[in-house]
Amino acid sequence: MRALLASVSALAMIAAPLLGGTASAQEETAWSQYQGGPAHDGHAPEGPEPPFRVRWTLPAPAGVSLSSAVVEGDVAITVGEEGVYGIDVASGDVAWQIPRDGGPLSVPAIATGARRRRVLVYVEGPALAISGTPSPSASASPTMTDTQATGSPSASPSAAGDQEKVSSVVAVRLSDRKELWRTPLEGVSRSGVTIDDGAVFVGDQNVGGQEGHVYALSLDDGSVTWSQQVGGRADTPIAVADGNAYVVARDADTPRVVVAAFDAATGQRAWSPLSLQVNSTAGSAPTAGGGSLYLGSADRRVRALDPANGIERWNALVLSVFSPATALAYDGTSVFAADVAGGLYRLDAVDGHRLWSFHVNEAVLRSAPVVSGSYALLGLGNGGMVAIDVETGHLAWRAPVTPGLIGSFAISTDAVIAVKGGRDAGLIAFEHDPDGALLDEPSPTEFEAGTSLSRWAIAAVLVFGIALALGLLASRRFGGSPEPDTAEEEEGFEEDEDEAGDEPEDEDETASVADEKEEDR
Amino acid sequence: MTAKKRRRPQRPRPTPAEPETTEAVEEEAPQRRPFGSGLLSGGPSAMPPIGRSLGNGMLAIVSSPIMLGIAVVVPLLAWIALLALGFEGRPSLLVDVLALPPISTYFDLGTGESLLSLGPSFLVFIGIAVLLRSLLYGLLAGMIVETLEDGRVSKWGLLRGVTAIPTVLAVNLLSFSLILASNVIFPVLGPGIGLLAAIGALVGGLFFLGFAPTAAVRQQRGVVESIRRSGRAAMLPGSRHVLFCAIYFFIALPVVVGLAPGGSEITANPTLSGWIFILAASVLHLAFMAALAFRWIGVEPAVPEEPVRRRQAQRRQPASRQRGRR
Repeated sequence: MRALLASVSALAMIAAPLLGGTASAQEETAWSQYQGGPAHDGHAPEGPEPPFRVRWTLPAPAGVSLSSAVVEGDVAITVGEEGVYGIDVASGDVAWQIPRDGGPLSVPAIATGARRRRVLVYVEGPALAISGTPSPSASASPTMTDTQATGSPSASPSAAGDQEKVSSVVAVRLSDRKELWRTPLEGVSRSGVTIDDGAVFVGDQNVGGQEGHVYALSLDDGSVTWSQQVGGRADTPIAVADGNAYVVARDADTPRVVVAAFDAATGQRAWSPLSLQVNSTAGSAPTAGGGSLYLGSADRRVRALDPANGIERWNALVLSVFSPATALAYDGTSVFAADVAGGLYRLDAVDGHRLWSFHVNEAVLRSAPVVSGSYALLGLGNGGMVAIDVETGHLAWRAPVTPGLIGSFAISTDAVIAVKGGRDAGLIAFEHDPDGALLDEPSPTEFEAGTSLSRWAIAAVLVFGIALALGLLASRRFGGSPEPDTAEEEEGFEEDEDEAGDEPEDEDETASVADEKEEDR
Repeated sequence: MTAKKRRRPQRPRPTPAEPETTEAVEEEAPQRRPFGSGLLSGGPSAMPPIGRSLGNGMLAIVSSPIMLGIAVVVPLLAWIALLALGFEGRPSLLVDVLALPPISTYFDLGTGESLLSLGPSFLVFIGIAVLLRSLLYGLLAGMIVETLEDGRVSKWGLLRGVTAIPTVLAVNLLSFSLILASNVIFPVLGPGIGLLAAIGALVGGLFFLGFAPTAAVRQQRGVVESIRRSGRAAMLPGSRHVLFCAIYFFIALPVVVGLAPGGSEITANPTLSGWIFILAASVLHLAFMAALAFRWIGVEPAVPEEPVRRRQAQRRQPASRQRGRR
């Protein structure tokens, strides 16, 4: 018996790492959520490095655009208006799709649920249908039968008119895309999904768009574990780390940005909401890492907060504000932030001092920096993309400009998948180009004394020389000192005086001229 | 610059403040038109015409190697100083580094805010910038006046400029206050009217304060009196001074800023064309500065010693009309 127990325990010891380890390894290496994981640190130490070449492009299959992607193995998953798509990372082909009932596009998330099954969670609706009319796509969805069969705690929203103006969180089993559960929210969600430790976190905004909630749902059955009001629209991804959920909410009335922290398990407020009264609601999504919470706000500052109490540890000034569609990256020692003016900054995570900055001189509207290997990647508003060497802060690679803009990234083991917006909306995948060459360009904000001074010197000689030559010529033509009240002494201005119509020299003369004119009339 | 007109710099010519002079001005000016009328329209005026003022202002600058040297060196020094302080921004901003206040105040505010954001250090930056600018513009006022008077720049002009520094400082501080007030008050009026009011306030700032540095150099009166006399000169009938100020704003803001090469590009190394444009714009600003000085010199004897009351002016208007009908 003892031998049998020993054999079983030995077998369990061997099998546990194999089974569990596989799943955890999958979670660790996959880009399973916005900016990689629940903390949104945007860091892929083993990610592909430049130079890159385009592996494939995928136009949005339906609708006008796609959401940022997440990666599960060799499949990238993105949310479109009419479907959720699984894209083969190698070829760019659509491997599978799940019908979707419209609504704002937001980033899905993948995690391991009950019975170690991989679960995809995304947000759906509200569809642009007339209230009260059942949505055809939802009712036609083959997953609905399965949903009802699973006994989800939430009712099906497809026929309920009042639910069409709110979003629903939907979970499907990734292996066969069967719907597991569906939970309606109280408002429209744009935040995307964050999953950590068996809980799904989403934010929403009410119909007026000014008040929102943050929800924690059970990954297993979709039941609402807790929900809390936040002081504004919760429309950026919620970061989860160290047992807390961090929300950046925007209040357009005030206007201000509110940073709130909740205990991820209970929903209790971890600390009083931090209100950033900066007369704007611009600001990045939160990023957690290294025992700090980082965010960029509309007063052009990157802030590091103590996650335990919300007290500011440091702040660093940058050149411009942050797009609400961006987030920061954290690679273990540094924080990477990109402002809308195209400045990419590497800040010391300990004290916030700037290690370097690189200005790409292009707007950064929907992209968040990520660190892949030893390079920071950033998508640009002109459809380009840059890779900056993390150590030197120099430009290492630049993608050719393409129509539309480059948004957020997803990193797989051998590809960088970016969402494209604008005219050619869809996805674009880059892979390492063994034949490509790396650049080594410093930021244009680095002063090159020789270049600058020589340019100035040439300009100075030109302007000085031309102006002085013209001045001397004009002096000869018009005479000497142009002091107006000595015009009678200076012949050079006689022509001017004539042209001016016998300008009076003083008040008396002015008066007499005026009187004469009136008398003439 | 002919030698025949060479003479010692004129001593400041303070106009005596005898009551009879004031009365004379008060009596005569209203007989023609109410004081302050015709700010846009032309007519008989002691103030030189706009074209002549600009021509002489430009001539005074481009014919003086020292003034041209200042116009090409100051932007470089300002740029290097800003970079040394950690500034990251558009070098095209430098087109207004030598602008007249309150446009130059905008330059200081913009660079300070970009460099330090709003806070105590920002106020320190603005304070230092205003002091430096006052020092520079005071000296420039002295040199420009001497150039206009004698066609050359000497130590005498610099010394006269030093006496104008307090007045220029006051002008810069008033411009700063004007911009702050504009930003606080006018947004309440809404985006359209508020913007117009803000532009009007800026033009008004140049309108009333533009002559003060030259007045201080020429007459060496106190700060307040120089500013008052600047305002009175601006209000003289037929001067078209509003038009002059509006032309300057149009050239200095939409034209110069809008056409600056490099536009919104953030770099520490302006291009050659960028530098050429910046330096040329600086020459243009100095030319406008000299044009203002030229206008003041022309109108100086006619500037009333005391404020002219509008009511008195209006009361006397019928008399002049009657005379006109005769």
